[in-house]
Amino acid sequence: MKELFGKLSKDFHEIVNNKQLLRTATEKFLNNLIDDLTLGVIFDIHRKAKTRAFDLDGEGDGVEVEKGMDIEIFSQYNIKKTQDCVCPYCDRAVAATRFATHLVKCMLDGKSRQKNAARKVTVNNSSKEQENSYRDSGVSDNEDDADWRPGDKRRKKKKDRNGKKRSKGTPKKLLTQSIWTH
Amino acid sequence: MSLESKISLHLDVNNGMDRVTELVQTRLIECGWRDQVRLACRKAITESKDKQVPTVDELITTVTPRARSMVPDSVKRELLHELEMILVNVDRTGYAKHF
Repeated sequence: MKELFGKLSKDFHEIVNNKQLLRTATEKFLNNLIDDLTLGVIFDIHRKAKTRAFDLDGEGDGVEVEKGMDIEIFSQYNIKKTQDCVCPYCDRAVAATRFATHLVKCMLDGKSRQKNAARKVTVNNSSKEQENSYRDSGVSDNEDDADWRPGDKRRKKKKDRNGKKRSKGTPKKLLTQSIWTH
Repeated sequence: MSLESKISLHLDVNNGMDRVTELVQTRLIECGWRDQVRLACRKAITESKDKQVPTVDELITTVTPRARSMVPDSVKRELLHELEMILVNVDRTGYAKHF
């Protein structure tokens, strides 16, 4: 082991003492380092191009930068790219810094929210249907019954209320119709 | 063994490789060399035939010579001087002192 280090130190001492040799060696070494760094950049850009991380087909993005517009364009472009994360639960775009907290809340409240959303949707649908049924007054109760689903208590209640109203309302309209026809 | 690999071996033995690579990297980034290389890469990709992304080998053959010439002379001289200083310092303080 000591022999090896002795040889290495001797070799190194020879290189350092010979100024011209040192100059050429450092130059080659520096060129190697530069090549390594370019390789890193090339791999990075190639991967980005393959995964379409930036739009190379889009007009002007690369060209604009070549014309001497500032590099800020890049940074802004990247910031916009990275800062929006789409939440897998609610499909909203959330800033990357707030994404973790949002995800926690969204996952915890996800089930209850989904239930609420489903309820809202059903309520809205039912109210729209009711409006429609009011508009075309000729619709009989039997047709509404076709949409009736077992287990939806809210709908059932609303239907009952409306049924009473309709029972009062329809005969009048029928009466007027009968008057006009006569 | 080539000269540059000898230098990297000696630096490795003396725990100086990380320091040197970091020095070169930061200096090149400071002078905007990396952004220039990136631009050259993107240019090479956009100018490629059939509008397909060229392979890594093709990119290396086109970009590497350009990247070498893109390093500003002043920066290169400065880095060479600093590298020489580091090597001389290693020789002065004693080879493989930390072992």
